[in-house]
Amino acid sequence: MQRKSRMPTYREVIYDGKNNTNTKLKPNILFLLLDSFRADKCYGNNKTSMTPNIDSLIKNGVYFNQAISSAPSTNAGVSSIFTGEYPFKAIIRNRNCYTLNPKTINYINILKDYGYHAYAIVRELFTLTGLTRDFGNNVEAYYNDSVLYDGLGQKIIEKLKSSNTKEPWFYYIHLMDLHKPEIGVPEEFNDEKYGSNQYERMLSVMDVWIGKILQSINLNNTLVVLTGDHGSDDADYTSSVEKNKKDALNFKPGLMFKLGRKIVGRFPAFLLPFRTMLREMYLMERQKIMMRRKQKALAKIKNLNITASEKRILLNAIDPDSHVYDERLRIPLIFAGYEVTSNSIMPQQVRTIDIFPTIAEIIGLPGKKENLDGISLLPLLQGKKIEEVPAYVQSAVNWSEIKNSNVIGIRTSEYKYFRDANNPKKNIHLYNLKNDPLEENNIAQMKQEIVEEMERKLTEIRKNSLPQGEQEELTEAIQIKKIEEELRKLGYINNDMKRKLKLKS
Amino acid sequence: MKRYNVILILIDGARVDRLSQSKEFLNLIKEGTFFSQMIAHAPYTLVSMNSIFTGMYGGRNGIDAYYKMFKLKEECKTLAEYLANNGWHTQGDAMRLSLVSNRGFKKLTEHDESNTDYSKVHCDMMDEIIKNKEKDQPFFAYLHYPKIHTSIVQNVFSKYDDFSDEYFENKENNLINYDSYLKSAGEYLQIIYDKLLSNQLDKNSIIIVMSDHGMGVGEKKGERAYGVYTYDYSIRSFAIFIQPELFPKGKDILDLTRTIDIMPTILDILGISTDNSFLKMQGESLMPLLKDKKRFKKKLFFSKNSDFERVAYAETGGLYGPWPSPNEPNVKCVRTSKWKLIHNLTPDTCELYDLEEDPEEKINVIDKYPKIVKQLKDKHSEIEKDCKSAK
Repeated sequence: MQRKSRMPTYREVIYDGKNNTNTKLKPNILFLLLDSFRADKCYGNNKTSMTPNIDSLIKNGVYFNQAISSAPSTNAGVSSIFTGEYPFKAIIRNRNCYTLNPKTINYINILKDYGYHAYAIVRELFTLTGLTRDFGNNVEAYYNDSVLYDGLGQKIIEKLKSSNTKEPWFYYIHLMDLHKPEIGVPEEFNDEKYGSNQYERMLSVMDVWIGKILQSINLNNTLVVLTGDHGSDDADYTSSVEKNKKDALNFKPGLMFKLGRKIVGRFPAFLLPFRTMLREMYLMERQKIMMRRKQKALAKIKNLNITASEKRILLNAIDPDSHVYDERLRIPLIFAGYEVTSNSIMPQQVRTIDIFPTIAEIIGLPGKKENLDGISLLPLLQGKKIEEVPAYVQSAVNWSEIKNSNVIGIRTSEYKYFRDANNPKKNIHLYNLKNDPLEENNIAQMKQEIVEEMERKLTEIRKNSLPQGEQEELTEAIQIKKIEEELRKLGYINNDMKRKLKLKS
Repeated sequence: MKRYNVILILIDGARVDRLSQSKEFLNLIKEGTFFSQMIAHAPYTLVSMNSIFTGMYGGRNGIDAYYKMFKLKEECKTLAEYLANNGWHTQGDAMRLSLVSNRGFKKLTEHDESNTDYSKVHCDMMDEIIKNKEKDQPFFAYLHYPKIHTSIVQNVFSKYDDFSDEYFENKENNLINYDSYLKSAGEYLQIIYDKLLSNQLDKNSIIIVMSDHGMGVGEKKGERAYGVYTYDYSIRSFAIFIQPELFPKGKDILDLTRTIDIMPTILDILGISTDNSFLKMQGESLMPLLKDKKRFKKKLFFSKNSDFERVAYAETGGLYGPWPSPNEPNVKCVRTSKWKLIHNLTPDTCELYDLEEDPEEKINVIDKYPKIVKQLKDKHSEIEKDCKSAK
């Protein structure tokens, strides 16, 4: 089959070492990913937190005001970022959850091939999902509830300054502080001036440490990228919502149960089988009570006289579901440091899958990654214009309690369109983002022609992924190379041996 | 069920019949229960370790040859994953990350085998595990000692090939060299064991000292060390389980067991139930062997209504030797305590050995016992079918 001439891929350029004429100095790259960081809480009128350091970073760098994540979950979100590809290519179903597709080449590997040392500081849970696979041993996994102010920030600074961190380095730091802000904002920050709710106050706390982290690096030779993997509902919670959520999700047993439990706890040994049975009955009863409570709370919310978007947030607080409304998808994106000089706020829509292609172009990586969905935003950083590209979005599918079936869709700066993932005729939504930014008014019925246009764009995006066969062929060849390298390292084969063997390649 | 720590110390390439050369091994054998007829699924680390950590043969888990290195099936759940999902802190040091799947390990490291002091590295790792885990959290530590392999690579692989007369005519010398590597392994073992004792880690832990395969010293031409054939010097392995609350000290279990039985045994002890949404393990817990001797009394081979006594299956596809086959296994072996049937696919020859009469496998009696050959062949087909079946 004749291959059309095309731009060489990274693999071809880098492995072809002799022709590599790139002598540009490679900057370090600091990639700060704040889990659950929502765009409107980073910059704009909706923000009530106090973040002088993030503000300064925005002021001295470039801020993308309409950056969209492909999915409202970390797995899909981060996998897409690392590969520059949409989730339906970047991740695969791995039993009960989704993990980085081992068959795709991702930017961590490309950076390493280009001479970078890749390090990561992530929550321990993520090391089990394949997201940190390509960092090898250079992963510092912190325990799940660690936040910047209780030691994690200090550790990060130590790592960045350590002599074991070799240049040029790529440091991926994934912070969970905003994910469950109710875990604990320190006392001195629990005040209106730091934000109107726990989420924003936590952000104010984080900002202090982000400032310290930024001070520990040299911004002249470090490219800084700060973004989020998805948005958050918590960002809008008021203290009464926080309380309602807690109450609905916690069950405080009444006096009867407490007494019963004491008695059962004192059962003599021969009655133990009864104890087990009683305990099971108790658990079932408790389950039923919680369900009833939940249903009551949900019914109450549905009857409230509030806006549709407020209702949506409250309902999700009690009964979480996955969706693709902007509060979950719109995240901040800041480029600062090394060679980013333009200091501006960019209003046009960009996507998280564009982040790494942009980094690649900034640092002078030659060639182009195969199967890329993202594009480089460097022209925008240089003050040029580029056409807006639609963002594919999908809901997260790795929730065990999923209620509605999954949705997929397209977002442009004008419209948000989504529908049932399997049936284009089911559960169709269309929102006019310019008139109805809170997505309260589904206009799908009235705007059929726009629905059709969006559906066309959606189909095109899904079709444009490389045919599965070609992808597999390429990765097969790479795998064989890796295997031979390993066998050589193990001492099993050397060049003499290889000649004697008839190895398939 | 007590949540014991699990400390798995893997002495890569330790031959069970030479353990008596090392007093440290002998001491440890006295401390626990010694399974001395434990058959590895493959005579090389990649396939053997993956079968141990999934509790099933390579035909089922996807890694049954050197070139299937990265093909562990998604539908397998590893020992580390089971433990991690049930609250264990899991950390290990593998010989190389390409040989052992890191699934389920919170941290899995590798080091350069030619210039690492494993006693120090592993003692440090134990300290790190204690420091990093939560206070009452049990842990799973995997310590892979590769120095026997390193010495063989340096002194055998790089000097001879599979047909060098110089090597094959010097078996005594090769054995002396091997014993010296094993003795160094014993010294490492003592340091680690002392470290565990001094930190009182032995009290709440199950310590397993084992090997993933043995090592040849030139017994069969065509194989310098391992990986080409499935003779006992390379597929017969062992395991010592140390935990006085569960494993009687100084007990020897001579029954045929398999390395794929180790994982089910650990899960059985810890009361962790099998996850049915994953591929089913083919190994079985060895705990019954400790208790009711009567149930496992050797059943008569020709008994009409009993099932065959326990059978172990091993296979390999060498990188070298007379019939290199790095993509697929081409030497397959079915073994009971008494009989071993080997099928060499490439030349299409078969070998049968009476292991009780001829433990060194020198006399091929394939023509003398056709009935036994048939029964073993049937068993082989059964196992192959079992590997291919979905659950």
